[in-house]
Amino acid sequence: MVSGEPENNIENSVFKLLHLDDGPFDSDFDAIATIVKDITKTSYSGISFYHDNKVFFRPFKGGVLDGIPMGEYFRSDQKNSEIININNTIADPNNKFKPVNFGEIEIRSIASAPFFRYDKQMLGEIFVADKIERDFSENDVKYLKYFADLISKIIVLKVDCRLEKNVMQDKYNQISRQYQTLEEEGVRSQAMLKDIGDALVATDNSGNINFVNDAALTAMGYESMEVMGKSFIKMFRIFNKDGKEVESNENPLRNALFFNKKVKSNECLLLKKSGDQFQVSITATPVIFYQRTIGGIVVIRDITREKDVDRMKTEFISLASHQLRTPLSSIKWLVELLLDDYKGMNEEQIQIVKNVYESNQRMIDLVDGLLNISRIESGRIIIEPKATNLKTLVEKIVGELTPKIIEKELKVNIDIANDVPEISVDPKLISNVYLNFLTNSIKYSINKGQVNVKIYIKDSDVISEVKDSGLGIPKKQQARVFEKFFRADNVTRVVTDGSGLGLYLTKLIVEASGGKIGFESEELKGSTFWFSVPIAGVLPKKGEVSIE
Amino acid sequence: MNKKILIIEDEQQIISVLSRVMKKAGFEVIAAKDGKEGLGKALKNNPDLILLDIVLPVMDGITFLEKYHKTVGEDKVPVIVLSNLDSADKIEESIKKGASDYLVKTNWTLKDIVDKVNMILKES
Repeated sequence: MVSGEPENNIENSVFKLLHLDDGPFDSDFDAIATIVKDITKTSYSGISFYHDNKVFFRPFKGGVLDGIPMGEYFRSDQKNSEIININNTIADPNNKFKPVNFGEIEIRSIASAPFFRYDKQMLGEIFVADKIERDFSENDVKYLKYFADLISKIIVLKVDCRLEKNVMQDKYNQISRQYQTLEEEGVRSQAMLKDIGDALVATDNSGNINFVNDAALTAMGYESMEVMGKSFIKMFRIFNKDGKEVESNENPLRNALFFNKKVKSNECLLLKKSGDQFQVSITATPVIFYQRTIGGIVVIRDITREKDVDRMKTEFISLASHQLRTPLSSIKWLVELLLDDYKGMNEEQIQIVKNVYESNQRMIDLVDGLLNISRIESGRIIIEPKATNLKTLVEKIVGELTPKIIEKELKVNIDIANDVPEISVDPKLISNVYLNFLTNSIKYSINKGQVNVKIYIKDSDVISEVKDSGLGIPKKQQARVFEKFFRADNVTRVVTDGSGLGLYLTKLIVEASGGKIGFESEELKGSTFWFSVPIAGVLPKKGEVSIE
Repeated sequence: MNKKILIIEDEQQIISVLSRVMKKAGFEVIAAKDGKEGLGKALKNNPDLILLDIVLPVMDGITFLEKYHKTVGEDKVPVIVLSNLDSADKIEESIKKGASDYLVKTNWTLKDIVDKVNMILKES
């Protein structure tokens, strides 16, 4: 049953089919009309059907009666679905049915049974008729009813199925088009994937390879035939950095398919067909279609070159710092010898030698700073958190800076809230931060000034503030304070030493520890530098170097 | 008897400076300018402490440590590494191969080095 269509559309379609020349009903109707005429031994038979308040006939299509108005038809009322059995049309006691003239033929007796579409709509009737008066037997009426029923069924079969078929055909065409679009897209995607630089392998949801691009084949030394359909895990064997083959429960593709999420293996080795290994970074992603995992995609990036460049950088930095330090340590010690025993030098000479020592020390600090920065930037700093008592840490640093504090007659106040717990931080790194803040505060304070250290808890962080009443930072330059090598103008003139590295390095340390850093400052009033560390502590990080 | 210190260092200037302060502190000083010479003198002269640089010609400090400790065994003679290299793996390797300490030259004053030497000799 075709649903949702307006009734008269269906009616139109039905009518069209019923009335069609060489339509689907021709042979059926002709056969039925003939049979019923023979069985009931009448002279005339036919099938009529209604449309648009007119009556049409089969056979007799196109004949003089075809399309006569309902009013001129013997069953003038379409709503009347009685069986008609009249042996004498003139003497009709009920006068319900008009005398019938089929063209020139005067019909005296007529019997008819209506047929319907799904018991709803009366479509027409099958009738037999004679010129003479005659009775129609019970059997005759039975046959008429039987054939009317049959016609109902044939119509349903042929009409509705045909309509249904049209709808199906439309749907089929639509799906065909969509399928073609998908196929085209598929072909296009494949063409794109074949050519991209990264090695890419696609698998079904069992991990068997169903696509592999040229880059992957070349990188591994395989032919396409060798890997298609095979298990990814078997053909692309992954090893850890230390040379051990990766276990199944660590395999990125297996985990991506199992846990339905993207899995990355940042540095591992792949075994080529030749037996050599090469360094890669692997990302496996599940392909999810309507909430089902239908396969996986593995992208493999050859990082050999990256690693080489990294290694060269590291070697260069190590070498450079060693080479720079060599003469610096010589100068340091030679000058120490001089200062240790300065008989024969006058005041001025002694001062000069002291200055040389200080300058040299600044250069040493600069080399150290640059080295540390380059290590943090390349992610190679080790972070080793331990439960650290910040009070002890800060007091120790203030202790180390005492000579300078006394020299400038500064007052230093340490205020640490009682509820600040020991937190898990790398004490060497965090010391660097406090040291930098305090050194700056002291350096840029005027004599007899005040430096306050305050540590407290705010939300889920521990905040440390170092406030001074020193030179401050001009508003216009505040945005650049954490830049490498930046020193504000107002201090370069007054305090000549300072490489401009301290805050840059400090910011790197704080951020690598998961914290935030900031400051407030007003020129000639002073600055407050602060940094935060999560109470939960800092995550350990395996690296290659620690900060001195 | 004065304690004997062997200095293995390729820069003549550093040898001079270190010798001077060590002698002033009351030690007898022997010097070698590369790892091979150092190994020979270490085995021949039985020093009480060795100051060892890492970057050396002919045989570097790490190799010296390996060979020296293979022959003499660890924990006999304290070896203090004095170097301007400061990478974690070099430090780790030195300690693993038996060095008692690792000092980065630019971080230590001569006075502090002498104090350190005295402290280590007192402990052993």
